[in-house]
Amino acid sequence: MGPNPKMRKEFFDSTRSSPFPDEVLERVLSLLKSHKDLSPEIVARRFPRVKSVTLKGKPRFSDFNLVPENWGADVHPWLVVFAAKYPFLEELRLKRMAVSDESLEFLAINFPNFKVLSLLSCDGFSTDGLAAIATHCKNLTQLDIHENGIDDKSGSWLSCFPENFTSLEVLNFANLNTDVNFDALERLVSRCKSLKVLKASKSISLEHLQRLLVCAPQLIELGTGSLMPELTACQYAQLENAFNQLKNLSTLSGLWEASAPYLPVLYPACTNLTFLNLSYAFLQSHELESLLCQCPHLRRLWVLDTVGDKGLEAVGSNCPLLEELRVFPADPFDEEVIHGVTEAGFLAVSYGCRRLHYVLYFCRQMTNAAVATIVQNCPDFTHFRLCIMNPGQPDYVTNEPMDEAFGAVVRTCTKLQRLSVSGLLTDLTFEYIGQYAKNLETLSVAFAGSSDRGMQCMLEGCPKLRKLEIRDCPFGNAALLSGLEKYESMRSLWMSACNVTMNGCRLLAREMPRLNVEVMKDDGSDDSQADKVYVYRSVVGPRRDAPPCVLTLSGL
Amino acid sequence: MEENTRCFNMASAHKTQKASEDKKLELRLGPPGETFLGYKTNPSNHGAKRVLQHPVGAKTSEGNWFTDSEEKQCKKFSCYEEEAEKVLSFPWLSSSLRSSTFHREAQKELQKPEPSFLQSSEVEELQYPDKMACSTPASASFPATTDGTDSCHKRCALAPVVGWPPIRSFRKNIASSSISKMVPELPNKTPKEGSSLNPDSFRNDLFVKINMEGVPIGRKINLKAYDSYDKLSVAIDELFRGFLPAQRETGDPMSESKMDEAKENESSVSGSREYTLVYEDNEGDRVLVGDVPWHMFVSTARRLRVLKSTEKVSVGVNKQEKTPLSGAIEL
Repeated sequence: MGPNPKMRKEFFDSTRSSPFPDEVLERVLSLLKSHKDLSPEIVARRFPRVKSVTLKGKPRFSDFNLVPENWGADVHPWLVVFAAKYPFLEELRLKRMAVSDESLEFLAINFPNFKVLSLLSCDGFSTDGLAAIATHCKNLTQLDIHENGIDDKSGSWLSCFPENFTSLEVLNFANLNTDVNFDALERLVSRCKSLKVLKASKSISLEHLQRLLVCAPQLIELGTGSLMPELTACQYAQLENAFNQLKNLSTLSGLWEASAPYLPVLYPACTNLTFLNLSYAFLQSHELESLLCQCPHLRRLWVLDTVGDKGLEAVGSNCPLLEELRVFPADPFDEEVIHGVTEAGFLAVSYGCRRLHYVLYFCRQMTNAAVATIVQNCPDFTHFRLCIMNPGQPDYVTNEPMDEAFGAVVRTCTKLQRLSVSGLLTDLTFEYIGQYAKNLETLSVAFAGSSDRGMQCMLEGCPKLRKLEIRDCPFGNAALLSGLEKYESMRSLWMSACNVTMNGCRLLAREMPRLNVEVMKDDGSDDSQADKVYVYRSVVGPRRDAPPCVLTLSGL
Repeated sequence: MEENTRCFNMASAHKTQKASEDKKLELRLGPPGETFLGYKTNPSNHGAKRVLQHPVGAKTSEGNWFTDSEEKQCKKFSCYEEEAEKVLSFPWLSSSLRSSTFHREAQKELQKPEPSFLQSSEVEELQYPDKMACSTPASASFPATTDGTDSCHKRCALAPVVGWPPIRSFRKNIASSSISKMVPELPNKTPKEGSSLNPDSFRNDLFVKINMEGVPIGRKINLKAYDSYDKLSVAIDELFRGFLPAQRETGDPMSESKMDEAKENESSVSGSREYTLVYEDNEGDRVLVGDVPWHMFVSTARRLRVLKSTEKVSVGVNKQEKTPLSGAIEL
């Protein structure tokens, strides 16, 4: 019955009686943070009183359609056990789990104290499930529906909140597209005086937004709906006024179809912004610059690459406190027209934003020299995720591999926890990583490496490695099998489109009985090929909810 | 051919690869640092290796391909011998694999090199490039493309790699949905200069690739930054001026001092008789720049090329004549 979530247990109600003071409990519990595959029964046995649960299910590459849809990670068995053992459960946060409407209804009905539901990158449910939550969860404070594969049937779920329901503090339905009943939403927002976070969907117009803001000037985080212009001058003035009332706003997102004439309406609300998410707004460099001038305290910025290198220069000039930057590609699959950002933009940011420690950067060209300079400027990177979008592309100036770039990253950034590599890379990159990346926990590798040695270097170095995900690399059985002991200290290994065979996987499973070795095969592939391999520790053996396309090789 | 090397799903090559992987598995779960016999590196690496060996100038394909792997063959045989010996002493190797049969097999492998095996797999790979699912082709300035790549380019564009680039699906559609919306005129607000009022100009940038013959590194140029052919010519001069003397000297086009020299010395690229400026339009035709009205050019141009006029190049001046230029262009 056990799906494959990794469970991190969270805390006790300190008012309950317990033989230990809270500080002791916390210490013990943090040591018990479990990253092995567990079953609900084991969890319930080990942790007798739980208020809050976070479950993470599928491998991360399921976000990119590399994992079969019915792979597993069904939340329902967990809910059944929780209903029996933790009836006073208050918080449930799910990431990459399979969630059905039945499960949501079960949750809504069986947990009278339920307060917080967060669904991130989950799938299998529809807006009917949300309706059940809205209908039954009388004490709900947070409903956070984020980036899910949801069957968006209708917006009527929002009208299911009872008229006497007032406890909502967080409402995020940005993921959804169907129209909600705006009057119901307006009434809901009006009566929930503690509402701090409101992230609306695209269906909410500017006019609607103005009315909502008037009801909720206390908002700390706002996700607008569509900024598609359709206001009269008078309406524009009213909107400007509404934004002016938002004195406490620290996060601004949404901004779909943001266009130049309306951006200034946001300015009054920008003074205290620390997080600005423009990743749905097609902005040009000058529009971004004007906006950034209004945000002196910005720490986190997400943008589309439409802003170009010039826009990133503006970031460097205007955001001295910036800690996190994410640049997404507007047209990741459009090969005909070239635009976006280059190494120049990244360099410009690094000169101006010395506190930068988290970057996710999609680009179409990069050089070793630029990266070396960037990490010299910003040596405190903890998360360095660089995606040169054309697989196997070298330094476009020197035509050399990008080995030295990532060598510079791992040598200079001693606090590095997460790294994603790209571009043309030989085994040398992995020698560097193995040798220098002492704090690295998560490593993502695609279209890289020259031989098994590359993977071996990663497995033999990197003492803190937890998650290794590899795709389309020339690593075979020898590489896979060089990490036998290592896998027991890791959370998981993913390898797809590499050179691993079924025999190699069988050997791994035989040698390491405490690992689950799951193999997923592509249609039409050779019998001997192990197209996708997922390896993780388990104390319960093969999971029983694996579909036929997933074969678990177990040494048990 | 460069685009071919970025085609990753090569079923047949994989098959032979996997068969050899299994063989290797039985014989040696060897120590790190060795490469496998007959290991066909990921096609991307083949392409990569060729890039490393031939950074500038023409790349013919087949000859180099074979040379590459012949060298590798020799290297691998010597590695292989060492490995077969080492493997027997590996402590955790289960005893069933240490049988005398196993040892015999290992000896056999050593004595019988299999060039025919390697040869055939290479041939297979070369025969299959058209059918392979390709990764999304290069959009960046990758050195020296031949016309052959353009056709693969088109084929490749139809079969992108699954899950690459690693973008969540909800992010993929924002481009199309945004561009398709009309932005209406505002009643009391003057649109700021440069802001868009129709879908085509929703974005004020229209960057297209521009390659100059003989220069391995392509550039990008924003057609919307100009409003006439004259201004475009000036811009193209600027872009490539620095390449001309630098090419002849050390081949380092990025050197700033050379760019300065160049500005003083060189005549314009696009105005000279030495070069011809052509573009590829949305129908794939090659057209002389200047043939059509400016706005039509901007809306249909997909790619620019600066060609040496001394080559016998006929472009599709009247569009009925679609002359393939593959023979004439050597980049």
